[in-house]
Amino acid sequence: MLRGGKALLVLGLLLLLQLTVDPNHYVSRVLLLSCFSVMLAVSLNIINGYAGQFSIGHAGFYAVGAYTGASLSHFGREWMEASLGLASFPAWLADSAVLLAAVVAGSVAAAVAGFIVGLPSLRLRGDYLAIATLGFGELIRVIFINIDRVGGARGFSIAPINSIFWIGLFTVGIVWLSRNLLNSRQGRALQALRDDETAASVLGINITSYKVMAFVLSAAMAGCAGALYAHFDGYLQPDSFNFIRSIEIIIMVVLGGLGSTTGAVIAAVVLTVLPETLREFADYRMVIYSALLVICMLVRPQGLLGTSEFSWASLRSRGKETGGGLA
Amino acid sequence: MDQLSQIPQLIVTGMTAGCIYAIVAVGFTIIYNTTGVINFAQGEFVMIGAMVAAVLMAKFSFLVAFPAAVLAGCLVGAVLAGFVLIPLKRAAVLTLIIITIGASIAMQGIAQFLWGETAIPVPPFTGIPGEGFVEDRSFHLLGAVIRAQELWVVAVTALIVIGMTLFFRYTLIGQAMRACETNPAGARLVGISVRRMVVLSFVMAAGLGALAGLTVSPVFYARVNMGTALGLKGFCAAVLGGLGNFSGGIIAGIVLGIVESLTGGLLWSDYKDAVAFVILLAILLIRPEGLLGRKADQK
Repeated sequence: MLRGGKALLVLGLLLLLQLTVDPNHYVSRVLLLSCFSVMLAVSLNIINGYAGQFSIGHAGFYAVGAYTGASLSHFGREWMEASLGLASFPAWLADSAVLLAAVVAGSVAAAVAGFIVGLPSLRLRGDYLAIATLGFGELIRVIFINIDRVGGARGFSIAPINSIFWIGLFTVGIVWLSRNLLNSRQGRALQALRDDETAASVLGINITSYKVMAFVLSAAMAGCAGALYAHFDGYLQPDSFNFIRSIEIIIMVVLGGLGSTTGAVIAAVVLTVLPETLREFADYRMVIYSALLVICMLVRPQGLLGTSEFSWASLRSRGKETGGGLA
Repeated sequence: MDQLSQIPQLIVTGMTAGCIYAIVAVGFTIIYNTTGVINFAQGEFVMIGAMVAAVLMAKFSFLVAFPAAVLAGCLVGAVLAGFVLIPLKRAAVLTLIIITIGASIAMQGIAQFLWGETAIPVPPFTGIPGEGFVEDRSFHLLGAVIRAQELWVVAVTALIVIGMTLFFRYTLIGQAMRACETNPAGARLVGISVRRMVVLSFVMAAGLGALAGLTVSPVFYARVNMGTALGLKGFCAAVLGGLGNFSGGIIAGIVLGIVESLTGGLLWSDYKDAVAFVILLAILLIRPEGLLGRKADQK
């Protein structure tokens, strides 16, 4: 989708935004927050939508990424400055290097966690798997509450690195990756095992490795989002990765349409911007979301968009009057 | 040695918590046995029972508060059953799980509006009469202090366990409910209203949950966010004992409470809450059908 020209366009646009927009302005903060939601929803969609597994502990992967990334930049920055000569670099370059290292570390750590959680999915059916991932998410939170080195329940403060460019780039990258996964060999295999495991394995799809792959990939994306989020405010608290956070991500994926990256993106942005703009709404947020969730399940269990995707090609072929090719 | 002398006390405390886990596990089992659905809102029934009782106790006698709390639980259960019933025929298991999760979050949110976030103390059933804060009677046994309310919790649990076992084994309705899960079509053929049984199972599970809530609230206080943790640990007990297995869930619940309390008191107090999840994950990995369960049917 994003070849050559488009990729350059995105890079240029992000650089322009980075240079001209204040990342701490209210509007840009809200938009950056929705970037995190987008990354989380799109990544969870790989497990819950594409592969048809059911994880309700996504905040756990997010937390692993956030705390790993934050620890690396908090405890490792001096070392990096000394041994790599970062101190002599311009500030933005040194910051970017630290942030990238944190993102890599956060993604890898979360991927390992994803592997560990993915393994039981081989032998657990839907409802048992849901409980296992839920248990995992809560376990992660309890562990971080009790590690004093990272602040425990008081929270963990690090030097913030708030970068529109990197957050934007990783958001676009994750959406692009997830969108391209859908029609790749691997993506089709995931959908095959979602629709019928037995038939998929008869066709020669290795169910074991694909299920684990879905978990590892999705967790790595959530870990990446976590590491970026850790540097967004420079402050982390175990309770921001609780069960409710996992549920919020689920709601985004389910409302958007299980299996639709487009739907996940739209739902993530809407459900993040809405409570920010309507303050009175924010108080009732969880009640309204959960009511929406129940209603959506009753009326349209496949989500608002189902599994359909937005694409430029369908937009062009249908013309503008159909309003955007979201068939 | 100092730590070892705490063991009796820790067991008593763990037992109280374990009884509640056991009752929550029984609630799961009732609904699971009738519908095959894992009800994620089970912990919220406990919360509703505790909160309604706590709020009403401030104004009325327990003669009003207790029945009202159980009734409120049953009502909420019936409403939830209505939501689950609409799609039950064609819905995937996941759809139903999401509905119960959504319902649980909604209940918590609404409760927060009605009653606020602060914990409400509840007077014990058989406290020493007096003005203001009512103190509970307590006595010593083998170096442990046992509060009267803790005996009430155990007694109520025992009553529920015996009642449920008899109900499902010997009454016609209990057997009909079990038939619904085994084979809904078959149950319908022999004249059982599956719909009615599903509603009944939710109402029963909710009522029991509320009863557990009001019994335990003098020990742990009533708080609107108490349901999530209780629900999770109740699950843990239900899975540990083998989903669908009454006695398994009850034994697992009590054992879980005691193990948790001992771990917290003797080893790492900070990781007390993690115990249940570690056990849960280990069980699911090694033996998903539970320690005492029959082989779970793997779909």
